[in-house]
Amino acid sequence: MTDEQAMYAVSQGDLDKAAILYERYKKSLLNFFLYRQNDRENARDLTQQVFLRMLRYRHTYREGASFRTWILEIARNVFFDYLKKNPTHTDLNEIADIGDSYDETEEQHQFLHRALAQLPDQYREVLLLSRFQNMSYEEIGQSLGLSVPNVKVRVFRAMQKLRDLYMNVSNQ
Amino acid sequence: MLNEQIITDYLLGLLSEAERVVFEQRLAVDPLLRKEVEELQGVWQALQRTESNPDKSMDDAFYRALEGEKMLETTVVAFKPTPWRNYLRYAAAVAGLGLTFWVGRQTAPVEIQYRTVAVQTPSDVPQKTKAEPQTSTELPMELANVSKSSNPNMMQEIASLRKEMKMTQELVILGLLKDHSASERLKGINYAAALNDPKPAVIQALINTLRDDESLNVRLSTIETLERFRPTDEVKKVLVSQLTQTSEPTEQTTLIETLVRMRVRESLPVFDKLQKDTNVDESVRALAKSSMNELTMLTE
Repeated sequence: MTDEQAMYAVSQGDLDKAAILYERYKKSLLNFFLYRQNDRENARDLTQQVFLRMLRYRHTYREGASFRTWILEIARNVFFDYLKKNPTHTDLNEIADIGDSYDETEEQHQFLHRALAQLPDQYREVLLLSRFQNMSYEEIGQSLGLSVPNVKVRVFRAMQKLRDLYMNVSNQ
Repeated sequence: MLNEQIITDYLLGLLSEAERVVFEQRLAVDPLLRKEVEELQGVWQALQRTESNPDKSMDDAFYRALEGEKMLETTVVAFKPTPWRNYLRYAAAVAGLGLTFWVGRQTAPVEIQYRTVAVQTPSDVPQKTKAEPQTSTELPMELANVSKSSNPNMMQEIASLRKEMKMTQELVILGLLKDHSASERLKGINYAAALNDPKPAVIQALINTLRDDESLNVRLSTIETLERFRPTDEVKKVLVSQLTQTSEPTEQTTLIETLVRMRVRESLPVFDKLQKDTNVDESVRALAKSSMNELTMLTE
């Protein structure tokens, strides 16, 4: 069953199909939020809100519309609402200290978060969409109002920038 | 295709087999390009390695909400308006628009005529030298006395003015409910509570506040305010829905008490679920249990 068929069934009252969509998208949405603000608890709440809105506004889903684009629109709205309610929050600035116990994976994780924190929004957005949402260039372009070649160039530059920042952060 | 685009396609595994072979041949002979690609590949893979997995509590929360929504879907069938009611709603909206237009047209000349009549106020009524700003829907004394006159046109104009003031109040309320500050939103809710028969737009804004507001105090005030108005099926449905979504004991308690007072029989299955749920606060469970009996008796 495709995402679109599942969502259409949900919109028609077959709520059990919502579980299929939840299982398919929970991880990517959790990471989508986790890489926009470094708080796991918040990321979990925001992910939860996306699925609640999916259920609540199920009647607004139009048959045949791309589910991925639709759910992403909800996720972005949820995040904008979160930023509006937390104006002092500056995305990824609050990076946890690595602490005494040395763990290489955790250390890399923190370096990456620091690098992502410094990445300009336009680059971070395109990376998160392609990496965690597994969106096609066409879908990203549609979502951000860019042509496919521009999306590719932006992904490339985002990775370049992230690499430079990652190296800076890990050498500090 | 530009280098940048090819590299992106390569890293994301989007090149065709033939294109990939050609590109890897280029990499083999171009150490600078190879270094660039390897570094980017490293970053891409690092992103992949640091992915987090959802935990059980997140799953539990979603499946609880889903169960609540499913229960609501089956229990609130009685609330769903019949199709002809839908048409009535549209007809009412069109009539409302027409009325608003008419009121707008009627109120334009009012100010001029109003002054003319004020000069003819009987001598036993004290005259005011300065007009004071009006903050309520009550009309000025002069106008109230004039309204007792036999001029039917003036009566109509006074009614129009009243309507216009009410519309202004409602606009202020809608604005306040969207404010960032919780105290401003509370102010909006208090103003709304003072309305006798608020417009559907105000009710809808209150419903949205109940569903989405992050402040518990705001949500609690919203529940109280919604209870004051004529209980529509939509409001009942929203209150039941909110009870399935919230995990705040204070909000759960207020909602249960409100639903019992409103005699919403459709909330019984939700009460039942709450009283059985070991994750729910003990006092809420006890209240849900006693409220089931009370509501059953009240609605039998």
